[in-house]
Amino acid sequence: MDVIVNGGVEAVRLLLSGDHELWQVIWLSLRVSLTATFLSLLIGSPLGAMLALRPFRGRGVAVSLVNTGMGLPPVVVGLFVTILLWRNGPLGEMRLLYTPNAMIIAQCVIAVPIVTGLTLAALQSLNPKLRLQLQALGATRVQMVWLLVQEARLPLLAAVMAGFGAVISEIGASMMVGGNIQGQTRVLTTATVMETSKGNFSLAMALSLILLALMVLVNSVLTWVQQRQRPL
Amino acid sequence: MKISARNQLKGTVVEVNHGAVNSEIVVELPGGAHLVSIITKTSAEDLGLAPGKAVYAVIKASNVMLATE
Amino acid sequence: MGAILQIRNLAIQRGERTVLLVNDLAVERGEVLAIIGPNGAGKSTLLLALALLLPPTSGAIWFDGALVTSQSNLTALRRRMAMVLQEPLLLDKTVVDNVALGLSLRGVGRAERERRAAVWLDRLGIAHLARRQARALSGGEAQRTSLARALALEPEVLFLDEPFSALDAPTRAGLVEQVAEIVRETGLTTVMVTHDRDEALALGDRVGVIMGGQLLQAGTPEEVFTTPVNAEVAQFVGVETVAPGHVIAQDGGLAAVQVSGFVVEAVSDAPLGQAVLACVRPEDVTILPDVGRGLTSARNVLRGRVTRLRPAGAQVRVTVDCGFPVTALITRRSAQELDLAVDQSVSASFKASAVHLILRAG
Repeated sequence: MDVIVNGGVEAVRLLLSGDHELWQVIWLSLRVSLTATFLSLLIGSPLGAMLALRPFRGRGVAVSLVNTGMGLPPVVVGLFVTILLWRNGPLGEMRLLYTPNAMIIAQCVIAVPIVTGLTLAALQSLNPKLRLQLQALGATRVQMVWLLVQEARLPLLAAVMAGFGAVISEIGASMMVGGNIQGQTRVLTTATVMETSKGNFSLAMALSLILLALMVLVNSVLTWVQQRQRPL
Repeated sequence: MKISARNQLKGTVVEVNHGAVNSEIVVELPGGAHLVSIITKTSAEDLGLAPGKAVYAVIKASNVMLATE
Repeated sequence: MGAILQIRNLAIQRGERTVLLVNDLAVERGEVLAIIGPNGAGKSTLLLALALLLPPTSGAIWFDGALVTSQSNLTALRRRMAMVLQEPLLLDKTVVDNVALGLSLRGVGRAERERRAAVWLDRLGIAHLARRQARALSGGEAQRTSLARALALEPEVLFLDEPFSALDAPTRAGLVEQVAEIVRETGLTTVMVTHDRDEALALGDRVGVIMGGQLLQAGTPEEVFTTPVNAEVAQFVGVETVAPGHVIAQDGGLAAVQVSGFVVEAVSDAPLGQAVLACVRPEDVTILPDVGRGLTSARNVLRGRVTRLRPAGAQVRVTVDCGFPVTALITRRSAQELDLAVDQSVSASFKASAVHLILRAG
C-alpha cells in the first residue's frame, strides 16, 4: 500500500515542482498518441465508411482482416515497423527509426484497424433504410456519407476514445521503434517500464498515475462531447 | 315468401325499442325462444311493427353461428 | 400533359429470381395511383424502381417524357420526387431541421428552408413540435414529420410506401384523411403502396394490383373491385359490390347515397354531398324474386337482371346488374329454389347497416 500512496505523493510533488524531464515525457506521450489517433481517424474512418456502405468483391475478407487487425499485438507492429525503418530497410533512407515520428507511425498502424472496425460497426448499426431515404431525399453520395457519419457520431466518438486508449497505453511498439531515449523518445509507458526495472517503484507509480489521469482527462472531454446532446 | 335466405322463422313481435337511427325488435318464436333484430327505425315504421304483429325473421345461412356447451 | 412516369417491360431480378415484371404502366400527372397486393408481391420493389432508387435489370423508365439511362443524372431526377417510407427514418436533429433536410441538400437558403418547413409543419399539425428533438417524438408525430419533409420539397411525384401501416388505428385514420385532403388540394401526383384495401379505395384514383411480382390489373377502384381480372385478384380484393356515389340525404346517421339510378341507404354519418364508395360484402346480400319493396326490413331492395352465376363451393356467387353490379353469395339450394338463371329479373336486398361507405376526396 505504501508504494501506491508514496507514488501518489511523488506524482503530485513532481508535477508541482515543474520537473522538466517529467513534463517533457508527458508532452511527448500526448503529442505522439494524439497525432497517431488523429491520423488513424483520417485513414480509418473513410475506410470503415467504405466497408460499411459500398459492396465490393472481397469485402468479407477485408472485414475479417480489419477485425483481426483490431487486436494486433503492439510488439508485432513494433517489429515490422522497425524492420521497415531500419537503416538498411526499405524506408531506411528516411532516418526515422528512434524518432517520435517512428512512434507515431507504429501507433497509427495499431489504431487504424480499431478506428476502421468501430466506424464500420457504427455505420452498420444505423437503419439500412436510412440510406434509401437519404437518396430519395436527393442526397448525393458525398452528402449521404456525411449525414450518415453525423448520425453515427456517438459511436464514432467511442471509436476515437478506443483508438487513443489503445495507443497511449501501448508499450511494445514505442519501445522498439522509439528506443526510450531520454529527452527524445521517452514516453510515460516506456519510462514506467524503465523505472520499474530500476526498482524506483515510487517514480514508476507516479508515472502510471499520471498516465491514468491523462486517459481519464482525454476520455472525459470526449465523453462530455458525446453525451452533451443525449437526453437523460 | 320467396327469398334466397335459407332461414325464415315465423314469430310474433313482443317488444319494439326505437333508437335514434336503429330499432331493436324482439320476436318470439313458436317454441317461446326470443330472437332480437336490429333494423333501421324507418324500416320498423314502414313495416308497421308493433307488439303482436306476425313477422318472419329472415337469416342468411352464412350468418348463423353455432356453438356447443 | 400525359404521363409523368412510364415503364415498359420492366424486370427486376434478385439473383436468379425475377421479383418484378411489369410490361406497361403509366403514372398520369395529377393522379393518385394506389398499388395494392399481398406482402412480398413486389409492390415496394415497383415503387423503388419508379423512384429511380433501384436500377431495373432490364426494361425502360421514362420520367417527364425522357428515357432514364445510365447516363442520366439520377440525383437531379430524384430531386424532383419525394418519398415517405413505412418508418419515419428521421435524423437525430430537431423536427424543423428534419423537415428542411431535403431542401438543405438542394442548397436552398436557410430563410427559404425555414419558411417552407414552417408551412408544412403547420399543415400537418406539428408546428408546436418544431424545436423538439426528432427522437423524442411519438410514432404518429414522427410520421407527420416525415410527410412534412417530403411535402416541403414540393415534388412533382410523391411516393408513399405503406406510410400509415405502422400507426395505431385512430392516428392512422386521421392521417389518411389529412393526406387525402392535401393530395387533392395540391393536385400532387402520388404513387402509393399499401396492403390495405380501404386506404387504396380512400386515396386512389386508380388502383393497381400486384401479385407474385406481376401487375395483374390497373383501373378505377370500381373496376378493380367489381370486375377483377382473375380469381387471384378476386380473392385478394374480395369481390364486392363497390359503387361510386354521392350522399343526397342525411337523416341522423342514415345516409341516402345516389348510385347510378338507385338510392342506396347506409348507416353512416357521411355528410350531405360527400363523394363515397358504397361497399357491400356479398355475404350480406340476399336475392328475392322480382318484387316490389315493402316485404322485408332491409332498406335496400334493388331490381336488376342476373348477369352471372358462378359456383363457389357450397354456395353460388350471383351478380345482378342494378345499373351497377351487385354481387350476392347465396347457398346452392337457394339458387335452385329461386330457379336463378342468367338474364332473369330479380331483386338484390341488403340491410342499410351492411353498407360500408368509404369517403372519397373530390
